[in-house]
Amino acid sequence: MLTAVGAFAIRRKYAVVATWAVVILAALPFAQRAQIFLKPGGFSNESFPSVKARKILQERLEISTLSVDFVFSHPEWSPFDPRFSSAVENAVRGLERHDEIAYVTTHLDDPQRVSPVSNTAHVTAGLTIELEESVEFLETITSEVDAGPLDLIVTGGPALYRDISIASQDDLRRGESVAFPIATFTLLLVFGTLIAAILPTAVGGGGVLVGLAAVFFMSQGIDMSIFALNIVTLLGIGIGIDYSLFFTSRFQEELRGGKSVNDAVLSAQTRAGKAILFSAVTSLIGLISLVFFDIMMLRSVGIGAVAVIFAALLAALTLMPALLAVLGDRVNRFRVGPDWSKRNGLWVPLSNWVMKRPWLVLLPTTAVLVLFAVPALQMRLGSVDATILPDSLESRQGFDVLREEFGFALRTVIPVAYTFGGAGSGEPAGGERGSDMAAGGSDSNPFARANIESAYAIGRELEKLDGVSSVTSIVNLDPTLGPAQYVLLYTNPESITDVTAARIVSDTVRDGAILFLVESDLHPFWPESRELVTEIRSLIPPGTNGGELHVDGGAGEITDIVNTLYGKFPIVIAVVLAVTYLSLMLLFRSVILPLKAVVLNVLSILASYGALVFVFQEGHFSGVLNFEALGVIEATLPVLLFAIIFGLSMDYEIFLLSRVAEAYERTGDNAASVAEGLQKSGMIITGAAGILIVVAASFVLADVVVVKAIGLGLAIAVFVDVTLVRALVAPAIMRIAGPWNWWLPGWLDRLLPEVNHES
Amino acid sequence: MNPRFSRPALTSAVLVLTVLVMASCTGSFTLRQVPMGVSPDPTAAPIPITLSRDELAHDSRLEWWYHSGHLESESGREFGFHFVVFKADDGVGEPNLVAQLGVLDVQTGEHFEWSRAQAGLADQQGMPASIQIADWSYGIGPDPGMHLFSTKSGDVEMALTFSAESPPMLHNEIGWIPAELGATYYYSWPRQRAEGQLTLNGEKFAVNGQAWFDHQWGDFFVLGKPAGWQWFALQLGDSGSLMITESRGIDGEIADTYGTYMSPEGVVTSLDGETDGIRLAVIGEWTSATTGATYPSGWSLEIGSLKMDLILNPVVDDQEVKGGLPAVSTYWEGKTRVRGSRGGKPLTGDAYVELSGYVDPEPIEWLYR
Repeated sequence: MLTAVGAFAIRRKYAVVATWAVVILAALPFAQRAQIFLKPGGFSNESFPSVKARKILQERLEISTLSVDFVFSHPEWSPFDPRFSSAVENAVRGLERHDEIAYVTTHLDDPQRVSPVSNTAHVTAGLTIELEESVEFLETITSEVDAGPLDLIVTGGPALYRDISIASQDDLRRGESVAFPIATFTLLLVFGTLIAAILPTAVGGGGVLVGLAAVFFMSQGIDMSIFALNIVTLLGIGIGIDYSLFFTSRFQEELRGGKSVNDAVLSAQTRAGKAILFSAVTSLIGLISLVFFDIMMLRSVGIGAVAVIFAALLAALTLMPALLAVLGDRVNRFRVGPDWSKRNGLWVPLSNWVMKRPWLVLLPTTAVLVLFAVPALQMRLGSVDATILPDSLESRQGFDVLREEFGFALRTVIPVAYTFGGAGSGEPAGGERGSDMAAGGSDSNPFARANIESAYAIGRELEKLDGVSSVTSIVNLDPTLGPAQYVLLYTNPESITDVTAARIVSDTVRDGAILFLVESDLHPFWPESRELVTEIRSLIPPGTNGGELHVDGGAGEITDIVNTLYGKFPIVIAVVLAVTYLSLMLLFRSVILPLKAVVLNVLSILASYGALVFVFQEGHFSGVLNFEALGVIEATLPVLLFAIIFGLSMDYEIFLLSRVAEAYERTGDNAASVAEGLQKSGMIITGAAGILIVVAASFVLADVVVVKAIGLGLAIAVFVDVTLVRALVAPAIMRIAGPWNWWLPGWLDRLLPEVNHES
Repeated sequence: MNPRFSRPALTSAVLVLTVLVMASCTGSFTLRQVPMGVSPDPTAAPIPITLSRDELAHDSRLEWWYHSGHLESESGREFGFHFVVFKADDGVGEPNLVAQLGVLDVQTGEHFEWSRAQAGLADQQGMPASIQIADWSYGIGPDPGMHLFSTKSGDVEMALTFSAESPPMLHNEIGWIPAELGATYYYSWPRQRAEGQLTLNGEKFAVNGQAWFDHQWGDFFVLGKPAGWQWFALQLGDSGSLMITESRGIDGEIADTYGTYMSPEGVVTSLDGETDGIRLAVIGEWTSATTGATYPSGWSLEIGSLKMDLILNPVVDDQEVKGGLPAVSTYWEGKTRVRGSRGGKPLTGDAYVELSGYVDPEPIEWLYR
């Protein structure tokens, strides 16, 4: 089929080129707007227990989990200075008229909102809307808040998400502006001629544009995350250029071998095209696996990546042969660099050296790979906060003030909703007034004796859990009070004069629900907090009121994310490895070669994980790379990198092995074939990998630390893969394995369909 | 060239990898029934009060330092005042401080009030100690019974220093009052010499007089209407001092009546409502136009064991204190005249009276849906 497609592209070369030109031009305006329908966030899922708990918090306890924070300050006036206070009151006066705002709390309502170290106070406006709507609403209210003589910084969830979107788009622009010129320069170095160098960039770029336009259309029907955009673009550029590069170089090689233009195109199509097709298949296997995770962000990357890779594949197998057929020998015009085909370079001596002493190469290089991978054992999965944003952004600055002066985000607060009695089904709590509440009788009355006693037991149990520093609830006001005293206290809940207790009663109790705020000195996104969440979820409330506990908060959500991801990850790994193994078995008709390829790929990925831990978790090179150590690895990163790297690394493995296999088919000499394969693919693989490393590394310049981590993780994985694995370990193993490389049991040989160049 | 090969290692490799990864990622857990909660041990025996240590702030849920008194300018112009610092600490975050100042200009009948709030209490390392509440300051020490405060608010400035002229008065014999919801330590300096400056509406007065000091702390809850109390601090003309409290419980019924008497010689006697025959009756009422609360306004007080028969009348009806605290905590704190007799002999004096739990609390909205 590849040959048929190639023949068609040659025959109708002008029509194919024109069709692609029209498609690319049509795609351009949509590709530019790919981010319009993408949503912020996307790490959560409706089925998460934490999301269900959040709904209970919102609907039954009227707790707003999303807020806008206004940080007011003045160089001289203290927050309790009447001038400061009245300026704050004036600034936020109009906010509560918005239906989208549930409450506004100032430092005059809660003195804890005054900084102990500066003339700063913060005001929180709790929102009744979802994150997606909040970003637009933020613009409305920030324009209404006039701080007058005070300085004002706006932060909180909507502001942070707005800035993440802005920073992501800036990162994308910066990444592209760096990646394309450097990729073109690398191509010039590889091909040495201007046209050959421009060709892959043009065809790869065209594929990306078409892929991004597809993302634009898909995002109107499917929820897709804004975070996918950078990764999808990075992959599109890298892979698109790679495919075109392999195709072009093979075409040049065939021309040099004396073939006519059309024969050279056809030969490139059947040989390089097959490798490209299988590369794309293996890449797609890894990336499609992301679609099976119930996390919108990963699914978006999966869908988006499939779109761009598919576009890149189509461009490489249709546009590229057509263009080369049009250009013919002119592809070698305008030489500006060395002609590598006339030089032996380093690949011949290197391959000879490896073939002579395979064990000497294998053992130390494997040791180095293992050494790279060792830090991965210390990997702490977690989530990230606003510190992933650069401190030049307003929301990050506000977050820093809240963190440093008010202790925000340094401690874990886990909201636990205790529901009972089928809220809404029992007698309304309180009755005429609260006078006879404690007498009991109402299943859903939170002040009924039975419910207070159960809640008291839960409150005590929560206080005892490892890592818990305090619990706030209506039954954790004072350790000297027992259940009987609490029942007495809530005989008249309105008569409580204690400001804190009154606020807790007003804010954390409703008919059929009592809120516990479990506080811990553990960081909210660290693994220990997840253990605490799991402990809380294991508790069964006492009593016969049908009580249930629902755990939300950052720690609850990240627990769900990790459980969801890593519940499926082993299965996904197994499936991806197995399918890849089978595909390679089909391609190379060997049992050992696919196994070697899969194991080496896993080693490359583990080395990349190790580097991520060393850099982003432990903070090495944080000064050079300009980021704040996260202390954890963002939980989606290992999954994402596995899916991306597995496919990408496999590209190079396939390009190498396909050249080795070709030589082996011709000569039957294993060692000579391995050396020839390495020599023939060495420069191209290095060039292709160099481009991908450059593209990936350009994202290290990103402001958003997670994007930086993806870029670096990818760059390191490809670098390790192309240097240690492809140049040294793989040839050494193949040399040692000898004829075993090509072993395939007879029964399996008969079972496997034949994939020849024409099929 | 197909050498014999026992079995591809792929299956086992994939299985091993899968098991390893799954083992490291398991999120399962065992459910656990929460046992019913047991009440905490009965409150520990109180620690004897030691002055001056206990003049300072304590690690307690509630605490207040409270001065009320009667001042005169050099020209004989009379003023009443009360100054209080409340500290509320729920153990999470910094303690909340609220300070209130009330001043009564007897000549004009005007009652003024101001307040300040702040979160956080600086560490106190011995005496003298200072508590800052926004731009107001309150000092304790260096000697027991010595205090000072300095406030400034608009046209009003007040700075007073206090020194004890009597021994301390420990209430309920050891200074420990158990209540329905917790217990409080409670002692007073019933007679403090007060001296200082008062600037009112731009007019400056050098003032002096006598003040009453209360200090309470503990893990207890104060409830508003219908719970509450009437508190009387009498500085009698014969140099005797008397504190009487009548407290109402959660049901609004009188829960306890007790008092403490310090004789002119400084001998302290605890008084029990029943045993000592304390009879307190309201002889007048006043309704606040601001809050709508109706307060007692005038009392007859009989104490059988002391052979006292007294009438108390507020100097001014409107001495309600509203600022700085939630509505449910609004109270009446007023300068009051005392006349009557003891053992048949006429007796007069000055008093400060506190009436708590008369204002309807703000409704908790969700209770009425």
